[in-house]
Amino acid sequence: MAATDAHPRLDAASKAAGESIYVADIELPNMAHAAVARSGYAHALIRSIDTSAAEQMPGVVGVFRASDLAAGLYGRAVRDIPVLAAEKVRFVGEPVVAVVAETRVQAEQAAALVEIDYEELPAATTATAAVASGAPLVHDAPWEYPGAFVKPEEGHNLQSLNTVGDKETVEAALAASAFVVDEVYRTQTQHQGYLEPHACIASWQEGRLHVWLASKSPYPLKGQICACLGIEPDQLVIEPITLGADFGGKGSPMDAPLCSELSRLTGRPVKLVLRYTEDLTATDSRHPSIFRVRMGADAEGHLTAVAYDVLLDGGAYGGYKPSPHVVVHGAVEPGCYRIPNFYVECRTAYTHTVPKGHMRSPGEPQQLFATESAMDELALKVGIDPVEMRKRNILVTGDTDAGGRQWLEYRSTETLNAALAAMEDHSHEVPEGWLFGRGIAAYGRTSVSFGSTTICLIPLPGERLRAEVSYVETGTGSHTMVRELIGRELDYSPDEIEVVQVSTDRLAYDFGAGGSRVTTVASYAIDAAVKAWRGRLSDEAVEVTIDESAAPPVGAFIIQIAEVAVDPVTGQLKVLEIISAVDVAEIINDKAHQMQIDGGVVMGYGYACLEDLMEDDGHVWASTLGEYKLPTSHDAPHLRTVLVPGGRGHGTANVKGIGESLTPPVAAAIANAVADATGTRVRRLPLTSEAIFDALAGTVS
Amino acid sequence: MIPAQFDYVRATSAEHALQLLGEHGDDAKLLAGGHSLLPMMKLRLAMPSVLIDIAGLPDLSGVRRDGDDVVIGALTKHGELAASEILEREAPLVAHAAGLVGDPQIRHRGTIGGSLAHADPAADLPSALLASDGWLELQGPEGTRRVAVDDFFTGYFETVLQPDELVVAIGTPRRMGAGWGYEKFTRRANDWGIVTVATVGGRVALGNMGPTSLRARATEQALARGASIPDAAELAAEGTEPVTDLHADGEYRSHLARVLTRRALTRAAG
Repeated sequence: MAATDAHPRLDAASKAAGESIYVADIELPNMAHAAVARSGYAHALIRSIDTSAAEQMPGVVGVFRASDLAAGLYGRAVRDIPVLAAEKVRFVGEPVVAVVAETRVQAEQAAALVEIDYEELPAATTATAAVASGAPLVHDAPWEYPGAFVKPEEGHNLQSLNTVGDKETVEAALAASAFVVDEVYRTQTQHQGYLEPHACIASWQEGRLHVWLASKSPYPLKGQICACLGIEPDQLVIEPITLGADFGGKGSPMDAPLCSELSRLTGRPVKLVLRYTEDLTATDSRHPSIFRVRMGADAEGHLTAVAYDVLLDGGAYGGYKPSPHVVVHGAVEPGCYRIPNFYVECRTAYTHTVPKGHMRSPGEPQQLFATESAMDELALKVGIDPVEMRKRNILVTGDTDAGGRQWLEYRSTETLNAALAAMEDHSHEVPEGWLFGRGIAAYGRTSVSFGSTTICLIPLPGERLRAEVSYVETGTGSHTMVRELIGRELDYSPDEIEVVQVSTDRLAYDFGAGGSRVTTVASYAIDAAVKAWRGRLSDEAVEVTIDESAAPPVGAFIIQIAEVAVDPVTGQLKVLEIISAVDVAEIINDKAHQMQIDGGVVMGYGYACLEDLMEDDGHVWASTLGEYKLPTSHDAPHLRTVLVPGGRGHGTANVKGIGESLTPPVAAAIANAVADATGTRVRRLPLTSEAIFDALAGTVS
Repeated sequence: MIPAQFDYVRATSAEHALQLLGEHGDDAKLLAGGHSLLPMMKLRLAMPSVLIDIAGLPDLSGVRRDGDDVVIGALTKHGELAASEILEREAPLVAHAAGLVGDPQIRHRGTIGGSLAHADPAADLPSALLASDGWLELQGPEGTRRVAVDDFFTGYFETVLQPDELVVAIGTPRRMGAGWGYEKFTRRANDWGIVTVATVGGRVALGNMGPTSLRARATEQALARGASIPDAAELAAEGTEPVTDLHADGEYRSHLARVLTRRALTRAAG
């Protein structure tokens, strides 16, 4: 077993005791509070705005609209998001007017009195509707935004068109295949479900702007805010914060440009903390998707060709995605099988709905639900077992994937066998009259190490050491991991090491949490810092900046088996157990590692069975945590993990990322188990009792 | 969202609460456990200008026997109902349903009087008390009156309770050893029922199958005629108009009502 003795998380006690100071808890002298009046229309012209009643309210410092701001547009890759809507609104929940007041409640009460006169316009509230010719335009010329990827000729209302592979060869191969599956799979909108809603404080002090944002990537944030406000990098400092979880949703500037402008306009620090309803209805949830999958096999069940025609609903703005291709990259990944002919055409649509952004393993839960369901459907056509179907096609060492990449090793067989052994190890009690089923899903994830990071080791009196890092502890244990590795290498006990995130003024750079890069990149940085520390001539601090983008191509397989029971009378689904076999190298802290596994599976279970923002007609209807169904501990299935040690990881620490590995295959494993139990395929998430009942009744496919 | 502005008054006795209700009329709401009212206020579905806190009133809490009935103080909390030995022996349907309300935190704060006065058709206790042939004691300026649960609910979140009245007690016939059944169909463990079915003594009550908790009269009549449980249960949704909402289609609700009624009756007969 690769695991080491797990020391407690360094942030656990203060978080559990309620002592951690989050952005919402920070108080600055003379600070004012903001609230936002938001659009009630999916698409409308703003005819007039009357702020007189709001301005008369007690405690109001100022009421501001787009024309009061000097800021431009903001965004992570494409800059298409206005800080406040100017001539028109493009989604229900879009900020239009901001109120600054002495207290949060005063600001909210005044914001409720802002009167905005709209002229409602026809709206395109689904991706399918939006890309049809003649649909109302969300943006007149999206290709003109800075950082735009889409070109005018590529289609109607597109944030991007991404293609991989060659269409003609795939069409020919599909036509020549002995068996072909051609099905459409649909997924819903999922919210990240973090405990802490988006929160920001901005403060202009003596010509410099200080920002405290619930953000996972301070350095990219700095560039994004500078671009939006037209200020120089040395005018801006991003302050360290405690983050109440991220799950991918906290990578954008969000409310920082607005708070910055409100601070400039009022001459005071300004805080904005979203209510959870605002967070559910007006931030940056996971993209809903429509995947048409065509998958061909020869007579023996070997894949011949795979084609995806993907339509993602990107919402009203594309700026919440960091990819320069303005796509959630997981949607266009080639997967973990030998595919001789591969083609993806992925359109990300602008719609008059809440913008969509990144969430844990962006694009992959959607793609895995589609492709791993299709693998089972193809196995059925070929007439072989789903496990056998995967054995015949999964990448093994020496193979190259359909995107032309090759890992140093593919530990697919070991991982698959470990999952199967765990499955055979036990049985479940199934309620009388219920149907039992098992489903499998496979996922191969490249373990990346990209983008630079900086770390500084400082000697402290009393044989203690302080590690300053440039990345945020997002709740994953990423600061504890630093303490663990340094302690091990330099022979310090955990209580002799403190690990702190410092401001962007203090250290050079970090790319931010994302792509499960933090453990891998930080382990390289710590390795370099430890070498520098050992080579010092005096008792001085050492600081290293590394960029290991050329790290070796390694990855990990996840094989999941879901075991379910279905009540055929009501369609009720009980997920009895999810077995996860995880291909690992060395593990730095086994508790933190296991928490990433368990949390990842439960998040996938929520996506599969419960969570849905219920977008319809331009509205998010699941606008409270009563309606948005996050799984509780009572709902979560039994989880079983089988670690498959001995893999090749990154650096001398020999590690692989884990944070995003477990979520993507869950929904497909459960859907495949439901199909195994009932003989009926459900091709739409979430797998509610009613959806299963309808499928059993034959009313929908 | 946050609630609209309101004043807060703490009542020192039932009479004081009634006096405050008389002063403020429709603008006032009684606050007991707050687990239905406060969420409604946060969503601005309720905007009382005065909250009269009755949570601390003495003598309105607890479970006792009174002749042929079990009498429950209106401020008795769901958790206390679920743990009551008297209810466990003599009205186990009520104890069981109370134990399924929300989660432990809600059961620790929410009260039976509040749940019935709130009259959410999806809640557990209204249907349990309706099936139990229970009653409520309402106190007003002119004295107290007793209303059968059958006559209490008038519409979606509406009851015969007058703005100047207070629920002081809830009663249910003692039914030692009577067969009972309760079925609750939810998305998540701690959710409201998409449909619930409660049955005891030949009465069948449906939750979330219309604007109020309601009796499955066709089923009851069929049972009284001697129909088999499956045949009687097939009639459970007759005369109901369940809504289609975020959680379920109306037709699916009707199907669930039939299935759950069969299961509840089978459990009661077993």
